Amino acid sequence: MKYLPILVALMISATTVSTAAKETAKSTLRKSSAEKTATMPDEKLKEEAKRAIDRGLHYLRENQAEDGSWSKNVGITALALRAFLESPRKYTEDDGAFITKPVQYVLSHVRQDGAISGEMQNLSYNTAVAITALQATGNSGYREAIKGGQNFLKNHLIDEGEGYSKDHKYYGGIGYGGDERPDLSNAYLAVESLKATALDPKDPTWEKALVFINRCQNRSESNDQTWAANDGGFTYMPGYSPHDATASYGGMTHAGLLSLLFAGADKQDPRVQAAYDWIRNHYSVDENPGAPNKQGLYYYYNAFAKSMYAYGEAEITDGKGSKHNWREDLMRKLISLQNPDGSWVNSITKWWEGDKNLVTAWSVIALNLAVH
Amino acid sequence: MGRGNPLVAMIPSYLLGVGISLLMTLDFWRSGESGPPAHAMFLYAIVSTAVGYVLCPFRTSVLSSPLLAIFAWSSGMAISVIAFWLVLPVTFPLPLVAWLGLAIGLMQTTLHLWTHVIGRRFSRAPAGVLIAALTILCASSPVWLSPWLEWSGEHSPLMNLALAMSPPTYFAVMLDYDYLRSPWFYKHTAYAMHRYEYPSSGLVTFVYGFLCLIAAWIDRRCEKNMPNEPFGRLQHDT
Repeated sequence: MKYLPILVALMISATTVSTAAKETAKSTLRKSSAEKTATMPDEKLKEEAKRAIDRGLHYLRENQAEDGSWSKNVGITALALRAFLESPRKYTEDDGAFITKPVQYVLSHVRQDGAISGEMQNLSYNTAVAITALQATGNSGYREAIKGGQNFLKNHLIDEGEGYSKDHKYYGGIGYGGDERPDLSNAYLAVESLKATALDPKDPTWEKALVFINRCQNRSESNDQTWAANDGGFTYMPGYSPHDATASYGGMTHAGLLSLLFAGADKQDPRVQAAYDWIRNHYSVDENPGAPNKQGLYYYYNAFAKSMYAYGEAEITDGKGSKHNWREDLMRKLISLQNPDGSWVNSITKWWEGDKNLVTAWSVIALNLAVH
Repeated sequence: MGRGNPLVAMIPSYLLGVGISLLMTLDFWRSGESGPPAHAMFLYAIVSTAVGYVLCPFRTSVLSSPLLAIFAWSSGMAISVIAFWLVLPVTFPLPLVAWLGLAIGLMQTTLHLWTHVIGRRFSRAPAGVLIAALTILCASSPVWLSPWLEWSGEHSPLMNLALAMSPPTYFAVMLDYDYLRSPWFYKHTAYAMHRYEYPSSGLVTFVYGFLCLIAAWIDRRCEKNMPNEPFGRLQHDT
């Protein structure tokens, strides 16, 4: 009996510790659940976005040509194909002709030099999006076409082979294909496609591409061009922006961020951080920051979704300190902009944004990443 | 000496073509590039055509027929392009150079034939100015059409038509060179921001060839109506 008080004391202590531990565990669980709720998109919104994707894909099916193409263009066909393949319904070639026909359409435009295009003026653009879409099919039978496309892009990259030395502002860049003049838009698509098709990380193409990507960033520490400012954003090509002299703008800064990440720069890299800071300070889903009116708006949404997804942060804190869930913001915006027929289109038709098939494909690809 | 010999008549044009080629080549070598890039070849084709049009001496040709003189001059320019570029260690393959030579020759023939035909009605000087003005107007259409492109709508056939009618487009399609996305055009016109399609090289060759045939046919008709003036009004120019 003399041990009874000790026993009682031990039991009380054990109960207290256990309760406290349970409380701590519950609290931790509550906290992590709350954090998760803050970063994961609202389920209802996500379902709504998935319905928007379905409506968009339905529009594309309704407007697909007999030969499986969209807008009689290899690039647009490849983008629409990618929209289907990466959608939450995960369409595959087994789902029918609406997938197999565009694949065949793309393959029927493989050229001797490896490019995949039906026209001379968009060779590298079309090739890049085509091999990305072919890779997304997961069909190993297209490996040869993908390899050929990779080689075309690597050969088309401006380097010593074209007589350009490393100090030339064009070095490491890729243009549309009908001219040597490179730009970040084409370079980013080429880099994205080479990453998607698993080009060897040790391939010198990455290093060369980084030289050009650096020269498009307004960051004098890593950009040796005299015009370079220091806001961390990106411009269209070294020394030129279609909007204002060499000013940074949204579409290109997201393209630049994605290019840096895919070409080998890590998240802590100061160039990446500078680009991310620009994006934070100009955060918007209402406009393409730095571009007038609605110019290039859907290109911006597409690049925005891809770069934010690759960067891997669910929340972004803008320049004023407000937190944003980029997925939710993008989903709400794109849902609000969808036409009753399921399509998206820009009333400002520059850069092909008057083509419903193209803009719908871009928007679906962006939503696919947002709901992922 | 050599009156009526087309080969002799080709010599001035051949020398001119080689001269222009040489200047362009020196420029490439100075820039340290391994071969002439597409934009340089494109510029070369335009310069050759412009200079060849202005300097064509067919009024003083040794040939008895102006049509033959035009043909000799244009062929000389075409041959000079092909021959000169082939002896250089350039990166362009033979078919490409041959097509470019054909394009320069055919463009020269078209311009000279129509100047000659219109010159029958008026005189060569105003006819030359008229043809040159029309050519410049068509060639610069991507620039002056630019403000209207916003209203023409996406993928307008008018944009493609204007592009097809522009003489430099002929050289561009032969070289697979998208000149509308070259730095100058990209910065100064809205054309490259919209969807456009170049015509096929076969179609453009056919159209220019057809234009030549029409001009030659009109010339023959005029000649029949003026049996005593084998050279038409050309001989009376001052």
